[in-house]
Amino acid sequence: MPSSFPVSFDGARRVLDHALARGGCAAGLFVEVTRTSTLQWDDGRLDAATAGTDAGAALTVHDGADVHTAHVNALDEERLAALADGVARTLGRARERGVVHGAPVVAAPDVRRWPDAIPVAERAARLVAADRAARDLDPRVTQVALTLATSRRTRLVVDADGGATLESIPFVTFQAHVTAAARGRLRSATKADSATRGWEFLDEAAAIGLAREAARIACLQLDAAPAPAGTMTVVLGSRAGGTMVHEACGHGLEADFFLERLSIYAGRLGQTVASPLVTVVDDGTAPGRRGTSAFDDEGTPARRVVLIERGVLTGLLHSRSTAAALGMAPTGNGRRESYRHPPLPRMRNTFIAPGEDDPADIVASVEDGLYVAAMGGGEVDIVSGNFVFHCAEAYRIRGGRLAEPVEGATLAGNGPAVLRAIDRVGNDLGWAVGTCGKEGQGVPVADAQPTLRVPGLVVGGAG
Amino acid sequence: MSAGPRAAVDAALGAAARARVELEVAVFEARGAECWCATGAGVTHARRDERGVAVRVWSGHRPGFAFSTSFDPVAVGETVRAACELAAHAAPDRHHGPAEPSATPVPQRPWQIDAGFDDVRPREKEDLVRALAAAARAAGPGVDRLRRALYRDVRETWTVATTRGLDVSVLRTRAYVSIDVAASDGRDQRAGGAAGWAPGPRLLDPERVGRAAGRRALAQLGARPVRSGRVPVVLDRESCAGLLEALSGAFSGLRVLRGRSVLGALVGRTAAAPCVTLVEDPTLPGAWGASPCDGEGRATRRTTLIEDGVLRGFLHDGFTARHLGGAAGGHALRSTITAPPAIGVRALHLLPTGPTREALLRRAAGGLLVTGLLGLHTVNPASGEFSLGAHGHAIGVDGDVGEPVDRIALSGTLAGLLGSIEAIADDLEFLPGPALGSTVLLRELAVSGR
Repeated sequence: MPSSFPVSFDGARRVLDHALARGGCAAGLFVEVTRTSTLQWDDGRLDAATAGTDAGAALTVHDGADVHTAHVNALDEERLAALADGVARTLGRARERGVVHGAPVVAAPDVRRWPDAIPVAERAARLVAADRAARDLDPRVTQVALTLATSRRTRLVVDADGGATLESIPFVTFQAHVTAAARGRLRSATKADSATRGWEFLDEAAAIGLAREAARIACLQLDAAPAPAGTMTVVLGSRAGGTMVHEACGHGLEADFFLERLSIYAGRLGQTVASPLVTVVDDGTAPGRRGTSAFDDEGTPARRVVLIERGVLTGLLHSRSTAAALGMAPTGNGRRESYRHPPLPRMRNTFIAPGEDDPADIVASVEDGLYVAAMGGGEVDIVSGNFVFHCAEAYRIRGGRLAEPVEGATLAGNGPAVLRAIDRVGNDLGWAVGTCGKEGQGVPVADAQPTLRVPGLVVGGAG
Repeated sequence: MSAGPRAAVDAALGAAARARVELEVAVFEARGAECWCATGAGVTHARRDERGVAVRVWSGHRPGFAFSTSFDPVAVGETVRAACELAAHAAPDRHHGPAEPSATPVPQRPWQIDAGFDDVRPREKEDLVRALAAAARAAGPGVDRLRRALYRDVRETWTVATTRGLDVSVLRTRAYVSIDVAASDGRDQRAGGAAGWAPGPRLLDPERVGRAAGRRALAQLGARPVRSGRVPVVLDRESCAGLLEALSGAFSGLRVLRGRSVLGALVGRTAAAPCVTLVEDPTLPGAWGASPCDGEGRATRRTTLIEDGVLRGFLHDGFTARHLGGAAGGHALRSTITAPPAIGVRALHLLPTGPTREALLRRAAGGLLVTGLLGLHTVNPASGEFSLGAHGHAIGVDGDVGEPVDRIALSGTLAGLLGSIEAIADDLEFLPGPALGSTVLLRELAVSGR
């Protein structure tokens, strides 16, 4: 247990015991301390430097089917006691159970240099190098905005059944947003990378590489034609990352949507829901990935979950409550943005497993279509399965070759229909990072896919 | 006994005096409650008790920012010291600095506070959730699943003080309901959602919100793709508000200053159709985001961004206002203690041009009524480009709302969108969000489907 952490396992158990004094069949305390520091580079200089510590606790007591929860952003004994008292008062009966003292588990991440301990000057040096690299790439680059966020999120999770975990998670996130201008046109592009690793994750070459890539795409867009509109064969390059699998399939396999019969996949476990070429995995244990941690925010160990195996739906992503409701084992996917939010089943690092085709052969197989090299954000309607995502970098395919770049392309489709339509899967795999939004909560995720061919996707564009 | 908010303000100002830096301190206190339910689950009751201190310092015009969740004077002093250390690494800019006190006191807006807010018991809030769910089901027998019916309230106070003598506090109460449901007909299933708000729980109308969500889900059953082409488009009020919010970044004075807005060179020139007047008005009574002062403590003001199609100006905070000289600030948003305030909108809306929604639909015969948009967060405020997923209805030859349609991609640019507006209905809705919605008729947009 880090000596600096303000609440001990025993202290957490006392809060739980207090909360259960007037009834309740189960209870848990989530205590979180997040130290963040962000440097923002803009207009050729360090524009802003921020830092702070966000500390708070959330207490949850189950009373039959009802749940009573409260959070406070303080960790002193007085306010934690008030938190427990407030929840206990809403129950107002006699004690029904006590708190089991289980053996605590402390996770020890493999970190050489904790990112929250890196001096400002050392971090700022990355920004100086990245700014210069982006501007040197092309004279049409007019602005370079860089964000370097580092944090250490430590959370203690204790429940009345004996579970007790403590884990510190490092985060390093670098984002380059580059603007280019020519002939009265203004275009911008963003590239980012992020990991649950120490400062060693972001060496100078990595920062420069991201900034140059953003600059290259922004300049490319200056010469890009409007994307075509209509239905066509689309090749999703592995470099594009896994936004499609995240939107088209991942959300629909989060078990709360499944439990409430809201997901288009509800009731289809064991059935074929995708092309036999498609295997989908969510892996919370992948070392250093943005969605990785030893435990989830309910204290369940992270796992590798096979969601779809050769087209057959085999698994779901569970929090403790959805697993209990469906009579299944929790999968370590109960995640919360912070102590301010309740845990929900969420993706971590989600990907379509590589297949056997050479990516070049897949492009060569398309006479007339669209190649997506980089994706932007996306969104899905869970109930209908309809999704949309934006293409940050795309090219026409003509005669089996990549042709002119196009801009403003959006892909619209239906998740299950697209998964069934995939007819070529490459032997490569490319990752991207993001922050996934659900019910007002954002959690860090990564996603990946091999090169994929999808016939008959709706492409939105102004061309 | 824990230290209070005034002690935190005094501690920050004292630490600034000792460090000989300019300072702005923002102190936040919020208490609130939530309850929600879903199909097959019980009711969850949640309570919230939060406080925080955010400080910005300027040391030789170099900015630094730090925050803490403690009002303890020692912790606040450490927060000021941390901000000073960060400022030492930032670039100086003489346009940085705290706000001066206003010549006239910043008024409280009584309509932002519900006097009966604290009288409402938890059981009454739970009843609001049940009323939401019941109203949604009453919309039709096809509404068979409840994703979440939610009630949320908050009483919050922000105090902003500066070393220049500014010291303002704003109290507001707010109650909010939202519901997401699904409907099915045996062959198809669709989602529908709606939300509403008021200064207090007893002023909410859960029946109206629940009914709207149920009707939206039912209306989309059996939706099919449309044929690709360029057609007249009518945006409903929610879609209009969502699109305005997504494109609002193009009006940020900071984006203009840094050459990242497509609108930067257009001041005084035509930027929209002649019928378009676009206003940001945080003083508008009844608007969700309305506030007497902004995140830097300056009095808010009504700013006309586009007038009769001509671009008149941008949104500024203190920094960009000083940079551009003569511009007024008052558009800094502070939504959390964990980040400095940033330029944003609170009540962005189009002024109506007159005809009714029905008249707009008749003028868009053969076109598309958009009732939902996906992917609004992908809109690019630099280039003004957007390409979004959409669903809605075909519009019949008499302007009647026809069969449901979906899997549509809508594409365009900010300039093209604003230039294509033909009319704005007189049906402004005060939605829970930073933009208000009106039904809008667009001459044409590129639509992708079959």
